[in-house]
Amino acid sequence: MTHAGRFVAVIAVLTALALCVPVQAQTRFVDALRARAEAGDAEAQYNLGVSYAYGQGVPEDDVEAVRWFRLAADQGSADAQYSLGVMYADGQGVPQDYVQAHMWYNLVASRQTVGFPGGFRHTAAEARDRVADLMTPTQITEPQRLATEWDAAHPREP
Amino acid sequence: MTQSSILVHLYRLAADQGDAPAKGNLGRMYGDGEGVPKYYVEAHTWFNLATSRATDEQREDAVEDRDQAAGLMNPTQLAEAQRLAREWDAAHPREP
Repeated sequence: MTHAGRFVAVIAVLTALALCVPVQAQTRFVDALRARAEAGDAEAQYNLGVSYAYGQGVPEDDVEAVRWFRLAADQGSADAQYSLGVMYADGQGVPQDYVQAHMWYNLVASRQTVGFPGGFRHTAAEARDRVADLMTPTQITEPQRLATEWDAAHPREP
Repeated sequence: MTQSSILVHLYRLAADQGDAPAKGNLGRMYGDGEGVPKYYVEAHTWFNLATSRATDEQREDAVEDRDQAAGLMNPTQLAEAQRLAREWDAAHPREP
């Protein structure tokens, strides 16, 4: 092998290593997340949803992202509830559905929890109002009914 | 049966099997009124369903078709289209 050839080979090996190590680390990270998510950890479920939504450590899969967001959202994760609102508003992983988007945004916007960041609540309220502008008055009563039902089925921790 | 209406029928069969390009084609047939009466509600439903499970490469075109149809509809029609898509989606879960 010529000197130049050896140089190219070394660069190729280094590049391959640089590319492969983070991918392996991502995969290990996702494996650890999945174990916690499957055990019912809401934060892990949300983070696994994000991994699927952006294709980090797993192939991008919006349907799978929505599935994990929903599990976390049903446990009260505001991040997951907001993300579900985005997925429904944009139609990613689920058909675009303003009724569902409005409901999830509204759950975040109407949170009364002490210490819950007001900025996030405000962002959710703005997103909800943007969706509401595209809906009929009759349609808006539907997410309000769904949100009331969701609230009743998911009582807050004392 | 005209050739177009046979095509609509075939697209519908494939779309119900989950075929994403067939959903887009079906949307275009309804949007253009080929083989079926022109009906934006039905067009939006199929574009919406094609978009929701689209891969990254398919997504941009699918979103464009869906939003173009939405631009020609009023909120009541859009609500109806989204309801139809919700029902189809619930009846056809993706294979694991």
